[in-house]
Amino acid sequence: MRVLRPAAFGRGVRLLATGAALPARVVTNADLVALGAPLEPEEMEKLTGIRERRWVEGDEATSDLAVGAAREALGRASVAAEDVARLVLATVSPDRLSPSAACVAHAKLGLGAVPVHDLTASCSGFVYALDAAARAVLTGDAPTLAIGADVRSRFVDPTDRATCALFGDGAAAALLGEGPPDEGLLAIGLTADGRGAESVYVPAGGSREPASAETVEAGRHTIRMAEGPRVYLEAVEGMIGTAEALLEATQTRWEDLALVVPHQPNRRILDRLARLGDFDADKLVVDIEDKGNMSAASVGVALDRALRERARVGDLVLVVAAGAGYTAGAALLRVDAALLAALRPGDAP
Amino acid sequence: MEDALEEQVRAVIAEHAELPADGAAPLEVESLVLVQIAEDLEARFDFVLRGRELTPEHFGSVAAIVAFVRTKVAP
Repeated sequence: MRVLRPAAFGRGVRLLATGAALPARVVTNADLVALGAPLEPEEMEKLTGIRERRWVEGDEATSDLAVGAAREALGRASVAAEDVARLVLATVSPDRLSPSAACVAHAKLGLGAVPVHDLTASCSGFVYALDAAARAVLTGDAPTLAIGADVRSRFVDPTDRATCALFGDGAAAALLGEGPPDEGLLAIGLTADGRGAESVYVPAGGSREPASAETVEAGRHTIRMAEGPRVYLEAVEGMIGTAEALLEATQTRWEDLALVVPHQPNRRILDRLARLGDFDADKLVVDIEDKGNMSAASVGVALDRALRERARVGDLVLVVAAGAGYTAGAALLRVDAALLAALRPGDAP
Repeated sequence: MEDALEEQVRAVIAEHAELPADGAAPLEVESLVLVQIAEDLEARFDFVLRGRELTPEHFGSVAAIVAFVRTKVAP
């Protein structure tokens, strides 16, 4: 794992604000049955802990959700779009294969002549985007927007038992700027293991298996997860291993953490994480029941909610994600007063 | 003839799936049900299963699961 510690450069990177956006359409487990899902609604909830999720409708796409989350973060931080120095958008479901969803978001947000780009790290995408944004801030591009946004509903096969109930759509954004070395983003670690490249994947539509009538007929443009149980266990192993590596690198103990904010793939995975992780279960942030797995957005949406509803000034918060590829990442944050003031403007100082 | 461990493993599996008459026959269960079986075995026999261990070799039949659990509880 590669670990970035802003303090090693004598500088700091802090979160100025976060934001989130979900589409309006609510899709219940019963709705999925109506679409052909081969599980009963109660069975879906029992197996996944997901009761409903939000899906886009009409011509809504990933950049629309990304823009919604970005606008919320910018508004909370009182930063104008034209003052943003860079935008990094993590997604595995861009509006189109080309150009980037970041370019579409660039125009909608009204950013200036600044670099914007997508990155792909599946469910670890938000943490990867935080890393890229932190490095940008450290080299002079402040503030930088980090976004995780996905519309996996467009790639779900509702008749696939392994994946039909899992996915929702959403976006999360974090605006990163300069700060003191002992606040904000204290450390961030990323890793990958490409041996898992076909663990959870969309076989067709890329350069290896271009879209054709045959690929669509065979449903190969939809999400495939042939070894779900193995992915289930390895997701937990990936998150615990990555978290422990970052904690060791920063000489932090599990008991020092106030909150653990994991990627939200499936309630049972979160229960297993709580059982096998060396921390009190009540520190675990769970935000999946009405959202499902939103890939790159999930951990960011959960972080945004946890910061607004549970965090206190000075808290150490661990963000951790693992995803297809395999990819994994963890970030250690110290919550500062200015961040909470931005996220909770009604609170007394 | 079943020993105690085999009986306990079969009881855990039977909570989630129909046991085939032939212990060596393929165990056909939903993937998420397989996870439930695996986690119940972990709890019952006090071990932690790794993802790379969740293979047909170890979980493809009742007999395979019994043999695998035996390796986990061996002194």
